[in-house]
Amino acid sequence: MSLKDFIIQCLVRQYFVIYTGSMIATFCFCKAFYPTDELPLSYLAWMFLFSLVGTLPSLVFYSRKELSKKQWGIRIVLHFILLEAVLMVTGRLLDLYEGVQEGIWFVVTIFLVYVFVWAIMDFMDRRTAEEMNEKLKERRRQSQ
Amino acid sequence: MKVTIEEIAREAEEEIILRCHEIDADTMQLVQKLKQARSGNGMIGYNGEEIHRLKLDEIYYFEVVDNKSFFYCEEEVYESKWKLYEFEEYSKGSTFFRASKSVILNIDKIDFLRPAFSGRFEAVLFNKEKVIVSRQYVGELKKLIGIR
Repeated sequence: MSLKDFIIQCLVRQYFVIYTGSMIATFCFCKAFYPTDELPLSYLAWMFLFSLVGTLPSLVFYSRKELSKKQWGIRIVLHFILLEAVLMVTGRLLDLYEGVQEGIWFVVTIFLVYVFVWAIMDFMDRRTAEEMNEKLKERRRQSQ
Repeated sequence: MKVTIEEIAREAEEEIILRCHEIDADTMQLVQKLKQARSGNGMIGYNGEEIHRLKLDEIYYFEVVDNKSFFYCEEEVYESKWKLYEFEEYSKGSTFFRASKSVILNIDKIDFLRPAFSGRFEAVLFNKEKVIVSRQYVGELKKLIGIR
């Protein structure tokens, strides 16, 4: 897969999943710490940019060769570390958190969104695999 | 269906023309069988000094590694002179599909599939070998087994 195809097929899709996940996480975060506050409209635009920055570390998954499961595992860990670093810096610049306690919650929130994104993708892949396995069985039954 | 056979001069090139209302799976299978018949009903695989004639349904997958091509059967691996695109063209309409940049896999040799991160799948074959199906070729696999 070329880098252009990778950006179009993988990163764009991931961007929208991250944006949705971030909005859900924002809701949970504010509900816990600022239940009476209202968010300005500009927050949506900031999240737009924030999700974009959060998508960029996914470039570590790009490879011209087919990666093994182990190589994928290593890149997932690397991706998570990069993502935490990029979002912590951007989050601080945007004043999305203040102090150590909020910083820790911010890290935890990123982790939860990360798990949420991977869980959705894994759930969809498992469903696809089940569907394909069913069709393979059906195909074998028909050929017998 | 009308079948016409025409004898031609020795120097003229032999040709088969199929005239059909639409190109469907049956037509492609027929083309596949004709191709196999014309190629001597098998492919040549090399295993050291030995030369083997292989049938398409014996092959689990075809892979290109460092510019060398290989046929992977149940237990044996045979080197081949075929290029990836040649085998892809030859096996079109059969049970083979492009699984990744360098692999063409026989769907009838897949025991089951399982997710392998981010839209990729690992095909576990009947001989317990594992082959990755790239995300970009999953659509082709789905189409072949009848999932839209």
